[in-house]
Amino acid sequence: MKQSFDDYKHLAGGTGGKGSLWQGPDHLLVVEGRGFILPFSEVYRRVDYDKIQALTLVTTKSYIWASIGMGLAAVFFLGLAFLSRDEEPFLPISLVIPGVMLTVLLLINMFRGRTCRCSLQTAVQVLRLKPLVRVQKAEPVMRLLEDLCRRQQSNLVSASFFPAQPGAESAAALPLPPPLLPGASIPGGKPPWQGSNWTFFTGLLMLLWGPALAAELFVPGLALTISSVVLGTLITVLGIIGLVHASRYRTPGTLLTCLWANLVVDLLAGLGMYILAIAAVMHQGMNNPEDMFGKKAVGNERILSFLADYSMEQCEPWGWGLVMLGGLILILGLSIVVYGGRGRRLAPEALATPPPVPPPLDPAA
Amino acid sequence: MATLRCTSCGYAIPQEAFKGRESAPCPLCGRVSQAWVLPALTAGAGVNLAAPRPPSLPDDPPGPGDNVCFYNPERRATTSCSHCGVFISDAWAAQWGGETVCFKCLDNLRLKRQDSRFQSRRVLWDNIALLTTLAPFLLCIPLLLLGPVGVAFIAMCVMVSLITAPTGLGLAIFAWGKPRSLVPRGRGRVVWAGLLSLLQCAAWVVLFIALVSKNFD
Repeated sequence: MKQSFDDYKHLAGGTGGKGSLWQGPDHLLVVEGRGFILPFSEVYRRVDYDKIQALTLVTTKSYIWASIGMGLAAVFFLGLAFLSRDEEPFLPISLVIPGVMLTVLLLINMFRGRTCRCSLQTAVQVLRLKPLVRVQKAEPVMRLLEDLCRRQQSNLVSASFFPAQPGAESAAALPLPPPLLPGASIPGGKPPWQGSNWTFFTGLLMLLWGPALAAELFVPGLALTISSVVLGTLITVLGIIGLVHASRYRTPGTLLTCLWANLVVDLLAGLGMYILAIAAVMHQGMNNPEDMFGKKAVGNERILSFLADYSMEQCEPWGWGLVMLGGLILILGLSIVVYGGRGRRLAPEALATPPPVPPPLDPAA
Repeated sequence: MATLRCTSCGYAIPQEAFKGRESAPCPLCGRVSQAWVLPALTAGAGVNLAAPRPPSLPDDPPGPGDNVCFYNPERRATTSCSHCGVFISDAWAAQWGGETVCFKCLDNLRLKRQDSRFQSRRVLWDNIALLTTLAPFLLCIPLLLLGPVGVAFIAMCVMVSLITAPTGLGLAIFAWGKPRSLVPRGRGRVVWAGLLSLLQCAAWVVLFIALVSKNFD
């Protein structure tokens, strides 16, 4: 990528979807990419240095969560590859590839350092600087921008040097507005999260489904298998409704992450059950070919009974994967119950507090 | 009162919270914001408090026989739009380069991209061509996470290149003469898109011929 063109000097970002920042003679050029992996279109914004009022940087926890997620997934795949080392070479190789891929991604993520979210503020907008996502790259760029802005704004006099005026004095004497409660609404934003029965019951059912799924291969019998399938279907539907519900509110990040993770895990569990069902039918067919192939078709009830009779010894190392999935569902369910239930609703008196009144446009009025 | 918006939740944090220090927690979300407060914030606040109402153009009613503004008949027309030619008053005129245009034409020139001198957005056809060519293979990468189960899906993705390869070739030809990003770059992506899609097309042709000749043998 070019480091400079015309009067512009590269500051941050690349040719990817996040766009780039370019230092101009008297303005900052923000290139915003729109697309998937590669940008399909670009939007260009110019922000004059003398109009920038503030630059802000907030560190985020994406770095930690991404590291944990990728680390766990890498351990999962590499563990399964280790367990299946005596199987056909195709199986461990196909498990090692994603394991190695995730390990490399994890190392890259750790090498790039903590994540952050940066923005600049002018009198009319707050512009998110999407190319600045890592603290170690963002901080030098922000300091450089600060320096450029200060140089352009050197002729501006701070408000504190203004001669005292009646309107200004009274405004300066105003006390700071009290900080809003966590559940209070921000004008123009989404309403605060009030808790939801959908998410609460999703979490509650997940607390039942996790152990049921984990015990699937240890406890024989059709009842547990059927209840596991029913619970899984119910949780997937409830989870989708809960997610739609949560997206309409200013939902805590942890809850939103748990709900998305729940959806992914549900689909994975469904896939796992489906593979086990196929494996069970094939296993049964190989053991008793007359019983299996003597009939024209195998009924659903028979597939379920084959699945129910499947044991841990028959499906190692995949069985341990199912147990881990059950454990993960249990943890997610617990998080969703804690964060998504009605217990998180604010007290009525706290909600009754009116939002702060914006100051009048004309102080003299 | 000067405020800084929290990058995380959008809450207006009073500037006083950053007095004498570079970072402060947001009263709403609790995230610690590191802020670089610039003179424009306080200077702007001071000016807003001290200044009167923003200046407005004085009334300019048309006299007998004067041309009137097309958009406001209560104002005298002082100029005409360089694009649509209607008479307009000072209040409805804007400068666009060396031309004077009415607000409607300004809107057309800016937002509907009728003027090549002002571009706030560009479609990157070279990226679209390259991604169309590579899409089936890029989809295979996350499918690797499915382990042995993903093999069937990967095969299906590769089959999709039967459609995407000729499409990518067509897009590469289309993108050849189109403007690329404002940040200058060569035709590398278009060339790669064309080459890769040609290779895929050739592979499919060879496979097809091999299958047909095998069947006839």
